[in-house]
Amino acid sequence: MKHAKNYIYPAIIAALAVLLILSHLQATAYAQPGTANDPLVTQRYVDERIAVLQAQITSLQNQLGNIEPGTTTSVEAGVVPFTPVFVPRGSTLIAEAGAEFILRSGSANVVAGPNGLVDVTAGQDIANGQPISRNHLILVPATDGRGLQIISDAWLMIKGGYSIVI
Amino acid sequence: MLLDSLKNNIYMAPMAGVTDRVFRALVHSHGAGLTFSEMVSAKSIVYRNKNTARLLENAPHVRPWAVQFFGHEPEILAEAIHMLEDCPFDIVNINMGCPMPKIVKNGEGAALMTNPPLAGRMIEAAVRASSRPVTVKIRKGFTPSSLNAIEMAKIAEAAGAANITVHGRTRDQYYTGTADWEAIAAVKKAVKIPVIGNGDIFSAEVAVKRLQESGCDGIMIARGAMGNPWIFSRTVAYLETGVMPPEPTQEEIIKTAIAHLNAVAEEKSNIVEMRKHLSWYTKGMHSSAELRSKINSAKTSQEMEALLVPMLDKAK
Repeated sequence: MKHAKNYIYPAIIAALAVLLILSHLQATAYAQPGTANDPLVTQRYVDERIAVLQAQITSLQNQLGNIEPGTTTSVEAGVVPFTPVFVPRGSTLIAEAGAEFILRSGSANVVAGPNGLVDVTAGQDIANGQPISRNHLILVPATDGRGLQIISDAWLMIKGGYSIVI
Repeated sequence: MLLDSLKNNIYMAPMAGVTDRVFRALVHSHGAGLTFSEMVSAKSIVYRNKNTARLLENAPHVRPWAVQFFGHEPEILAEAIHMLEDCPFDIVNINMGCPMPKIVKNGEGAALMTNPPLAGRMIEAAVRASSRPVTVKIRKGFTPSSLNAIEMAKIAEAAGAANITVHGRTRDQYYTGTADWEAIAAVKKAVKIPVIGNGDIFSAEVAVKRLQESGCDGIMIARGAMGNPWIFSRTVAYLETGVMPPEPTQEEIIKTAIAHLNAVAEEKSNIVEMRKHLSWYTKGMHSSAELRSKINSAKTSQEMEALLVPMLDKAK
């Protein structure tokens, strides 16, 4: 019991402090009506403010309506799907920065400067001229002509910008 | 141009394993405006494959007719067309719509829709090599996320194609779901070359409706003509006279089936190929399921005919 007694006073002091702080906060948020902190306003002022806000709401609603339906159909908004692409042997696929691809069949070598492509699956760089592994996710770091030389007819799954030079 | 001088704009589609020489003659006699060979591998022509030569045989009176090529190498396609310069056919068609895995995995058929620059080079190479009009058959797209029929049609137009046929499904769909005729109509609006619509035309009534509503320059009938060559005669008669002729009677259907069977027997073609046609002819007839199972075990044309003749009596 001796121990419990020792805790009573600090607890009471803490509770009083919390009450004091809360009452002070309330006082600043909801000041006495009709004072400088919570002034009375005219009906005309309220109507004008509402009119301004209503105009903003209408304008935003119109903008929403102008967004063409169909721009995001068939594909979930913001999700770019992987697209299967056939690339015949002898051609070159040049990809843009951020493009991702997966070699599903056939074979291809990396075309890149000194920095290569990123094999995300292996967690390694693959240098210019190296073959890429099937079913590995490859990332293109920059739009500077990096891509793939197709060695035998290939199917790729591609996400992002690319062009094929036949 | 030749394509304008066709007797009508209701075409029989190319179908592997179906549109052989006998079948083409049959639909021709029922009024089809144009018939196509089964799809022919450009490579197999260049390598002089004997089985392929058979696909190029045609009854002399069935003109004009088109040969459909598939492949993925512009040079090989050009070479194949060049080699067939003296072969009696009238129109070159390039297959960019076949959904079958063994074709698509080689980058052929519908796979070309995933690589429009290559498709463009194929068409250009064919146009350069051919003295005949070059036409192209595509689908609505490869996957639902790559609907590029309009882009492909513009590429075909720029490459010199004389017309383009659009099937209203993606490759993903194969032949499931329904053909999207709005997508076909959108292609029609986007290009100046004639556009032929294709997909789900299973009756003369639908044929007329599609032709009139899509704004297409013609329509192509595929599965709708299997066991039903009357789809051509009825559609053409309606378009010419405004009166839809009645459906064929069971007697007419069985007589045509027997004539078809005899023509195939005379050609000494593989008679087993006839089983599927006979199933299509007799679909929906009384006790046709039982008949089909008997047909599917028949090995000679005589056995098949013996199964059909009693159906004539039942029809009366």
